[in-house]
Amino acid sequence: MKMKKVLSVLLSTAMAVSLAAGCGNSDKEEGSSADSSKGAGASDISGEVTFVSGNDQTGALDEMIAAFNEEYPNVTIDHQLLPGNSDDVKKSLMTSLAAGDSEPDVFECDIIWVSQFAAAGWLLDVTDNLEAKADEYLAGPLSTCYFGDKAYAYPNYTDVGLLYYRSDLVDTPPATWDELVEMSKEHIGKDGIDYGYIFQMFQGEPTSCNMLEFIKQNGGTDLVDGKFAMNNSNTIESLEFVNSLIDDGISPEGVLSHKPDDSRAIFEEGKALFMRNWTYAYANANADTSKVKGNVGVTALPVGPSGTESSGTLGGWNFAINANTENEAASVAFAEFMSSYDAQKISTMVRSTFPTAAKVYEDEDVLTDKPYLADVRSAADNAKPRPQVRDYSAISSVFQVYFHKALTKELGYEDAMEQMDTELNAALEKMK
Amino acid sequence: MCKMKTGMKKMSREKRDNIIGYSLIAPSLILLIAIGIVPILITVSYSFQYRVLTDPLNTHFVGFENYITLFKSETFLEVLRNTAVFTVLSMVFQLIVGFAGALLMNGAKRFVGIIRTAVLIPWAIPGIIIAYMFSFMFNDQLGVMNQLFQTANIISSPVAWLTDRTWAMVVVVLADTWKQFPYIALMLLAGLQTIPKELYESAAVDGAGRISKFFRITLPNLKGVILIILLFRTMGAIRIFDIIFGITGGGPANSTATLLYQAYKYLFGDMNFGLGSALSTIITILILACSIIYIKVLKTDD
Repeated sequence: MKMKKVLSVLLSTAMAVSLAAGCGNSDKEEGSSADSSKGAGASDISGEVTFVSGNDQTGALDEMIAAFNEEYPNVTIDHQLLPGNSDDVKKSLMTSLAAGDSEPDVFECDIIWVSQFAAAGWLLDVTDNLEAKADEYLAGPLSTCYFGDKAYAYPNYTDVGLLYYRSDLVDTPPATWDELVEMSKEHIGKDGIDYGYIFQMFQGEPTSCNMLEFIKQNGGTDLVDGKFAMNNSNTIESLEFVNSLIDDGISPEGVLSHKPDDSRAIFEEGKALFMRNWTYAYANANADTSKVKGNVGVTALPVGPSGTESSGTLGGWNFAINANTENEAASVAFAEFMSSYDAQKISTMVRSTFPTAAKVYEDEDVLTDKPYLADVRSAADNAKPRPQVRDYSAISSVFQVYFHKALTKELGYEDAMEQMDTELNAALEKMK
Repeated sequence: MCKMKTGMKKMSREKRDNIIGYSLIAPSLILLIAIGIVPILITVSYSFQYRVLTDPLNTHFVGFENYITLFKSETFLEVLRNTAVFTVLSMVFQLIVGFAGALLMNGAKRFVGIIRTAVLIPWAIPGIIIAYMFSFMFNDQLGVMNQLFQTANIISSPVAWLTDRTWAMVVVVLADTWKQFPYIALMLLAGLQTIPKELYESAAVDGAGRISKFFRITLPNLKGVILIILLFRTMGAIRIFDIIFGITGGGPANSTATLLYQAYKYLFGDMNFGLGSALSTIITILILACSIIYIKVLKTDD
């Protein structure tokens, strides 16, 4: 009885959500073109725009909105902050979008949601507007705004896997896996260093992001021409390398259960020479609570023996517009402004985000205040998105399980990758 | 008001009682149907559909396809096996610890209230909090367990508990045991207190020792209570979610992913309501089957 009640509460929630999904969106076809803002002067555009973002304690978004209002005085922005992590925000947004609500008009959209939301017909097609400004943005982040050959979002800020190193112990950061191993062996046991290299392989999104990075650093790929063919020497070499790091004591055995914050804790304790982490770790590693404050260098991730260029997994956020918005002109103007150089400069200065507009990386004020940005520009440029398919989370679930099975040696590398390819392609087939 | 009274008088007493009875249980019955029965029926109907939240226009009937997909997938067998292992292990651990707790409380002469309250504390803590507590305690780098075991010279270097299949399962079982043993201890304590003292006294006269008293008097008299505990805990273990979610996320290599955790992944990770509903339906059937078996066993025992 008890179980039934719990189950039924769970299911009734599920039901409510999916009922909403069922009746939403039947009245509007996906992707109406959004070029209505063209030609209209800033003061001609008016109305109210509801803008939803994740939590922002820095006040950067408010400053950006104020700057927008200077240019567009007749548009009122109703800014709503959603609490919780990215998944919580996604669930709240999906409830409105699936129900076909006209609000929110504009929202911060995680880059991995774009394909999913666009495929469901929830996002406004902004291809023409974005293409006119395509050369202002870094190529990697720009590609995350696309689903198929249409654009459904404007770049906001980017996130990428980076190599953090102890600048007090290492002069030149390693450019290859071999150098990384060599330097690690040299330093382990000295200066309080217990581990050479730490990263995150918790069974979940960390495994997908980190392992795809290793594979692409080694010349491997994921989705090519609509098919997954990952059972190849590049992938296997990467899996072998990760396991050799653990076996040789360069990485702790626990990396298979670590999330980004676990790595951060080890690095900030001064126990690790190198760390792979997202951009957010930089500010934390240089905070007063960190024992390595001021001794943190950051650069692009090293390259594997069969690879040619560094590759970090691309994360970050875009601005997307609700396909059912009732105020298209103002919404487009707002999203475009929030994605512009002016707004991104505020965001970079105030909330230390990594910009997607190329010009911000060359801005004098920015470089004086955030000199590390010059070092990560190339990493941000070369970052690769995760597979851009309609339902990325279904693909990621498969990655997580099989990468883990290979790394824990439950399955042989080739068996694991062969089964993974089969399941990935089957999952892909279902999305067609 | 007056009219109703005269009308009521004309009815037979039995009928009137029935109406009052029905109207009294109606609110809870309606509530139960609305939040209990209806969602289950809807879930069952979803389980026969292709229904993916992000592909809302394409919802259609697919018969048993979702079930076939499940039965064919290795993941299903894997999570079924994990759930079985978890259920058996947690039941054994919880009964042993619960029994110890109950005997301790039963034997206590002083501070009875304090002891009973203290034992209840874990049960009052939400599962997800316990999960995060345990994941922190068993963290390979920062965890207190590694430090304790190293200080006590049980292990020489830190163990990465949550990256080892066996240890990861043991940790989630321990966390669940810690949460659930108070409930079991209290049920057993209630059972213990219904055993007549005379039985022990006459056994003592016959020269029975502690151990033989336990196996010949205590255990047989608690059989009913133990069966009830088994019933509730099996159902509880089959629907384990928060502990798994917070400690391992199903890892390493899916070795701690359970049925309900997998259903959650289908439903809210992949947004695949068809497949998720099919798995939920299977879980419901499993639990129904368990309850029927236990109820049968309990009945013959009476």
